[in-house]
Amino acid sequence: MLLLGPLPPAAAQPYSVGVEAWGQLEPNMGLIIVEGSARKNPYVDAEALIWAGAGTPQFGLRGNEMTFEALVVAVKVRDPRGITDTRLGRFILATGAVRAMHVDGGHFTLRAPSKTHFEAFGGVPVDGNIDGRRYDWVAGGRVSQGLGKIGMLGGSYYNRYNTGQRSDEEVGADFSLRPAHWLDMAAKFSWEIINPGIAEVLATISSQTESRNFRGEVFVTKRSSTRMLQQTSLFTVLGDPGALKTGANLFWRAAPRLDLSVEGAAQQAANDWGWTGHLRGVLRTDDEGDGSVLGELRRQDVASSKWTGIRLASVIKLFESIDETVGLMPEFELIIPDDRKPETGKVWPWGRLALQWKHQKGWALAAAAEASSNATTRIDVRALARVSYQQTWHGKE
Amino acid sequence: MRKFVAIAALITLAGTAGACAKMLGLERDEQDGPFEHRAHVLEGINCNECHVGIQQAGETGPMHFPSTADCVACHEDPHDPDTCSNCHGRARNRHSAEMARKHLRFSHATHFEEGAGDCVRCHVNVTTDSDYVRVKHPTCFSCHTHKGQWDTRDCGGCHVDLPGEMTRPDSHVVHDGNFLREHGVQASAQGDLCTSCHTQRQCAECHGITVPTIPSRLDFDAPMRNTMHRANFMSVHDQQAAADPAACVVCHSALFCVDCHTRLGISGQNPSRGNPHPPGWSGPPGSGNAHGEAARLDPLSCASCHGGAGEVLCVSCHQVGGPGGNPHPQGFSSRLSKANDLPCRLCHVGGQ
Repeated sequence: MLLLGPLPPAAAQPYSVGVEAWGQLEPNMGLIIVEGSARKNPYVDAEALIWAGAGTPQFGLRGNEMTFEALVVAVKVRDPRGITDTRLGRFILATGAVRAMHVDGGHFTLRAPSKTHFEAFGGVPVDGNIDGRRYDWVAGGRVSQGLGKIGMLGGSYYNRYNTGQRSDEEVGADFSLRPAHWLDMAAKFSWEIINPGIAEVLATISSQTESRNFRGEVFVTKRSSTRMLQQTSLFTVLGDPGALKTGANLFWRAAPRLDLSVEGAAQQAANDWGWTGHLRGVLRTDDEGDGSVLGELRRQDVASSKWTGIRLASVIKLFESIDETVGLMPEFELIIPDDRKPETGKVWPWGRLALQWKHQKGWALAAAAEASSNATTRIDVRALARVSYQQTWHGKE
Repeated sequence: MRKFVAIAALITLAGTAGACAKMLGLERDEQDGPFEHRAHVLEGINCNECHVGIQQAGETGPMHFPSTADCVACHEDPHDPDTCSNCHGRARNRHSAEMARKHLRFSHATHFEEGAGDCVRCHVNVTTDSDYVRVKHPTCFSCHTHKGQWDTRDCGGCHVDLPGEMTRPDSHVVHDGNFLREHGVQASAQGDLCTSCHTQRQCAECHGITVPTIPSRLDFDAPMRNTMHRANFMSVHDQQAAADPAACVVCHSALFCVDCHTRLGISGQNPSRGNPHPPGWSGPPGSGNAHGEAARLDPLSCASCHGGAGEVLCVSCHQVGGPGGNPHPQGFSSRLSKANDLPCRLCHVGGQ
């Protein structure tokens, strides 16, 4: 019966391409990023982001030798009536209690009329050229049930192998509920089967006023690093200190252009309890929020991590016309560690000043100078620049 | 003199309060107010008199905003010779309407017939002094249920390119709070709802293993963007890892740290760097041996230098009969195969 339903109207479809050149001096690094997407709605979506780069060795770059890599190359094929979705290629797999995973593989979804969804996925986790983790594969699935208009409840399972050995096997449950327009709640829970125990629990309940001037949230997270690591690592047999964090935050739109927020949480690490929190204010300098000023005070006092941070950032519109804008973006951060030693420095300042020009036709130019000092580097000065062009055909013109 | 100071202080205070009120958006600039739709409605002026030709407008074509000539047809004696729309009505609202024309499959002509020419039936806010006269989702859904499309996440019937539209649903609670922390759990149950707007590239720029560099370095001109690794993250990354090692493991494998540290020459595999551990870090049973407790509390710190090699390094001492003894804590259980799986087989040769 479903197959006899009306098809959506055919129409011209959007396409976009973009190219970006990014460079950094000291340490020297250069990247060229090419991206594109096409949509033959509602049947096929395709997107890709491929980059090439060279420069100082870092994760992903292998020195002055040019490296080519794909971040995303994915095609999503969709049944015209939305009964099935199939995504193939390199993409981020994240569903239910399965943590986000970069894979070369596929993800299939079947939606039954009873609002029951069946998902199956599998592939080879992307290893990013790390030596020693080859021939991994992952497979799993999820079943979820829509709960009327108020939310979704699901259960998931996945199994991951590493060089032919079981490395992770988890079952999980998740839900997202909005029982009233002012109340939102969501949670996910995953249980490690190989080294039995809780791998991860995340839960959040939030509420906001009709005007959206106030919003409050309480949350809890618990993660077991030894169960989340691949089970082929010896570190997983050392026991599990776990990491429990629970707290609350409050957002207040104090004035049409002024947002204030505060967050505080108790956090357990290394078998001790500590706390972390921040106060933040954002002032928009115009109604559109194109210009703004941010101030933030942060404090962390957990295990051996004890520091206070101050952050100031701003977006200043220098020039604006119908076609182009010029903006200045100063950013400053100061970290004051509790344990101040002459050899690591007493404060760790960081600052950056960026200048940006954007044209409505898709061109953008930006340049920045950055300077910092931290525990390992007395002074670090670098320059950054980026040129980008983005062209989109929306399909209606 | 006192009176003069008091008056000066009051004037300064009033000036500051006025400036602050404007800066905070509490006091509106008269030249930047919403268009007086309500006043025109109360006068009984038909929408088509100003928005000439809107009743024939299809999915494409020019906008139907009134020109100054349309205004002065009634307002015969304008108080200002400038273009009326410079002050009456906000530029951003006109821009919003232009974006809607660009991104939506919507025909006024069709709706005009169905609604018998009653514009207010959809544009309910023109009867108030509201700034926002575009039609919201609930108004659309009062006639078009779109239940099937909502269930199958098919927005393409109206939205030409939702990912490229870059609009945010008015009631999208997920984006209002601490998005960085909340989005993972919110997206877990209804990920396909997220993907109706968000592309894979947006997920991958943070969660991708093959990212060329972190988002805050790539988009260095977006300081307001809230990312997991802010540009100054390197200063505190070791502190963050010590406070919440499991947060790192959500995305990074145990080899991530050692891979980067090895490249930068600051891992245990660089002999010229020397031993970073204090005296008494490891030794025979009965000695200070601080490394064991440290490893149990924060295994990632060990992994940041020893990585995969650590599996062999630890087992060289920690094995039954070895100086480190049995590495398993009390009550340890595992379903790994002793004979075949790492790291078990390093000690349990042949499944012993």
